Amino acid sequence: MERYKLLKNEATADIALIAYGKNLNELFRNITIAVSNIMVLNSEMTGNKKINFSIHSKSLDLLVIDFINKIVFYKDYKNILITDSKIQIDEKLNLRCQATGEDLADLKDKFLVDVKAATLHDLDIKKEKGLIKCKVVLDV
Amino acid sequence: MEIREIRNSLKEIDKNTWESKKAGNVPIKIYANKNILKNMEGEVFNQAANAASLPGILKYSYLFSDAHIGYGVPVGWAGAFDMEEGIISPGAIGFDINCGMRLIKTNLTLKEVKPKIKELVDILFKMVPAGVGSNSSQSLPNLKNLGKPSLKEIAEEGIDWALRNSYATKKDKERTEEKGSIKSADFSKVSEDAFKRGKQQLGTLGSGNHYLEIQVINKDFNREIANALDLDIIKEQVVVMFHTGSRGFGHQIASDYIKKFLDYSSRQDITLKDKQLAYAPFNSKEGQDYFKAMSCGINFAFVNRQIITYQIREAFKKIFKRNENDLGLDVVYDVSHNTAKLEEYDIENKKTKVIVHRKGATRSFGPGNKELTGVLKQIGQPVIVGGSMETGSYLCIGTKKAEEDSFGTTLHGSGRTMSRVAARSAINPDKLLESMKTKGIYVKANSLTGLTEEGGSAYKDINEVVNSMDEAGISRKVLSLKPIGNIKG
Repeated sequence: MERYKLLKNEATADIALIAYGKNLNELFRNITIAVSNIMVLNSEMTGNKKINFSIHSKSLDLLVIDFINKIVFYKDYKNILITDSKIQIDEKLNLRCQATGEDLADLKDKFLVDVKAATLHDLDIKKEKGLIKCKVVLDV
Repeated sequence: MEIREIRNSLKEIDKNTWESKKAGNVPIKIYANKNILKNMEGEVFNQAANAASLPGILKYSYLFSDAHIGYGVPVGWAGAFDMEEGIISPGAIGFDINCGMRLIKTNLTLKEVKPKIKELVDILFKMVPAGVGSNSSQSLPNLKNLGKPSLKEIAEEGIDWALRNSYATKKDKERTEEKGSIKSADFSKVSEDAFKRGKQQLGTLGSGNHYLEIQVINKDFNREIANALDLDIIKEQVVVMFHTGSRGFGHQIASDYIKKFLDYSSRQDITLKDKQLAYAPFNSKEGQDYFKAMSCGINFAFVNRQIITYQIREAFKKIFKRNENDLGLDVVYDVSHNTAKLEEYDIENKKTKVIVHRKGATRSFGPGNKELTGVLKQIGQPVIVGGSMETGSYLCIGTKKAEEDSFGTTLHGSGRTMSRVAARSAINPDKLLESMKTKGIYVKANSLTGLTEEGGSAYKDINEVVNSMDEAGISRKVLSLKPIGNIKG
């Protein structure tokens, strides 16, 4: 199963992607990896920074947006890019994330593009053949 | 209304000016020549129709020749809303609040700058941090870790803060849209997260389509206006143009309030055609809170561009070993793209204040407008149109017709034709660099991938896009500008 794919013919000025997961925990982990890979070349990551956070949202749509915006927040505020995560989501949409990341200063030569926000535009989460698919457009 | 139905209903009511059937509360008005219109993405019409359905929208949902798919509304869109019946929507403004362009003139000629272009671009690349994670501490130790009281002043005062702290001159203020300071700003409406994201980012360019360019005047179309702005083609005069906005500060404000407005929609049982277009009535508490927070984003972006201007002046002084007066680094103008502002227009022979949303669109005030002062009062407001880094840019001027026809709004750039993901595979970075070298453009970029996403072929033809608006009389061409040095985030 591929973790995610970038969509060529959508979001002219931004980046649209579909992330996949057998369950929500895996889906959100794959979203983490997708967002990170959009921003930097994913080779030689050490994952030497640890960040734990929890969020709660009223709907699954908003949980996706809040989660990506949290990754963006740590990048801008703590100068840490979250590159991987271990996710636990309960039935009440409480998400606990144990993330690993890198200091931005160590990624200087690997940057591709900056993700600045997650948008609600065309946001779509559906289950097909046992797989959860989430389409989201990122503002870059 | 279906996309095909909108397309089929379009009638050319004036040169390069098309009107659709009512597509919600109002029709769509499009400024474009036939070729641009034919190639406009279908989804653009759908998004413009969604905007046309918003409450209190007046006259039209406007699309300009640079329009392309956005989120919520297209980029290259504008709409004016009634202050009583109308709404305010972050999705119709954009995340990067007051993303905008600044043009700075120099007294230097191509002959003087060309031999030093590499040195100049390299020092600017150091002094104006660009790219992912760029922050003020890399170049301006005084701005490192700004405290909340300072950020409050910046957000509420805009350029007046920069003036007090010797980062700006009175003329800089005079030559900035809204004189660089929106009075409706209230920092208490800005979240802690926005403060935390913004406090390290003043004086930074960012990434994506943000850039800084050294350019030379290429062609003039209205020498009288060019000269009134102290620009002269005969001298092969060099100018500096850059594009950036309110960085993480503005993005966080937009993200925060989209969520608040979704809550509002849910409480009020509002069905949204696109959740990204969540809104609140302008006069509601929620609407006013966002307006005040968004105004902070506008001021932050003005100061961001002002700090970058300060750094540009320092860089030129170092390279050319001449003083500031001698170098003549004066701001020609600073325009905003992503804003919602209160402006007054004649509607049915009555002076009416409306809330004009512009997303990827530029204000285009004509001569005599009461907002303009000095020489601009005679010639109109400069409109800076950023093109791709390969094809050059334009300086245009606002018109009375724009004030009458499009709520004083025109285009903002070339407009994309290709997604970023598609550009990554369609444009070869080595060939792009080679092509730019052949054209005499020295480039310094943080990311080659980022560079390919901004290649000329990912954009519409700037000449056609600008000519469309010129022929429609919404903004008039003054000069075309050709890059000789480029910094990309």
